[in-house]
Amino acid sequence: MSFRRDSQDPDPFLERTREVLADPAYTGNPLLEQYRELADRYAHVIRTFMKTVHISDGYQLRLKELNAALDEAVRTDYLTGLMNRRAFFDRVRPELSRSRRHERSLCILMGDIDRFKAVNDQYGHDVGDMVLRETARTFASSLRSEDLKVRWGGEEFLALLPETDANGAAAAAEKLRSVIEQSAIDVAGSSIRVTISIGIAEERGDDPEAAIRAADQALLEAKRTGRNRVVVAAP
Amino acid sequence: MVNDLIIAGSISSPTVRLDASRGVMELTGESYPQNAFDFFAPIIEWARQFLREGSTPLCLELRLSYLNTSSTKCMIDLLDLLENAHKSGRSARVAWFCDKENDRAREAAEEFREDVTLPFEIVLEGPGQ
Repeated sequence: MSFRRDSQDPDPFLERTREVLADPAYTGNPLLEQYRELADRYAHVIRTFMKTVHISDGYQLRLKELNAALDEAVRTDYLTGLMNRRAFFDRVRPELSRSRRHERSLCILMGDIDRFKAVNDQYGHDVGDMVLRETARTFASSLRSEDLKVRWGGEEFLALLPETDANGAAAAAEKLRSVIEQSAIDVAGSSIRVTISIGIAEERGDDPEAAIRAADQALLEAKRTGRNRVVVAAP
Repeated sequence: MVNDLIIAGSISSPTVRLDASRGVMELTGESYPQNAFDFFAPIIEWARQFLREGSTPLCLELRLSYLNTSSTKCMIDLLDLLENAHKSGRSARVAWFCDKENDRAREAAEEFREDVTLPFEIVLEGPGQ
């Protein structure tokens, strides 16, 4: 609420005082003239106070909004818009406890674009960045909304798939692999195609690092055995 | 005649340029100094003297994206001073420049304007202009 110059006095006592002062019988009384002046100043102080508080609230709201935007920015990978590692580690523990509580399995999927260095070498880093952005978009849209999708490193993507066993994760990974293989990325007059190798591990304990290592090992296995493949880590 | 007054800005206090010959008071930056009342005292005093002594029109040009609570109070006092001058026939006006992408700054400028009757223009401009 705001107090305009013409608005009612915010204090009922002040209102009554003004009524009394308005009585013509008091006109010209020097003491009451002083009193009237005092009432005016008091009203002004209250108005200024309320105004200051109100404007200050607006600025505080702005700071809160900037804080929220900053918080969002430090959790997001700037290039791809996926989560970054920091955001992932904030979310992974609650997800693990939730899946344990419901006795559901959970999988880690680790993907890496095959021979990405060759794209950078042939087309330059700007084109490389576009390929990363497009692959990240495909990565994000092929997975479910409840999956956590992370840019893990340079050309490496990680997803946490809640309530998913190894079979479900392998199916999701195969779909992802196939969509990426079939998508052409049109950039700088060229049509670039990339493939992705994927490793999957089912999380069984409460150690996300162990599952990530297992998925990483499976990913290396996929690379070693020819790339553009999905490998599920042995339980 | 009042002397010009220039206060270099800092991260927490605006750059202040008070130009007596042009009758322009410019405040640019953010305002959350250690003691806003100490910071604003010479600015308000300058305006008081300027309005008392000459008859040059006074323009307050503000580019302030953030004011803390005590700076807000000081700004209201400064506006009160200009408003009283305006009411007694002195030419005084305000131009408040806001980043057009900062809605809150514009809303704050509107709040400041609400209580005064002197000419008070809110100008939206691109960031960094």
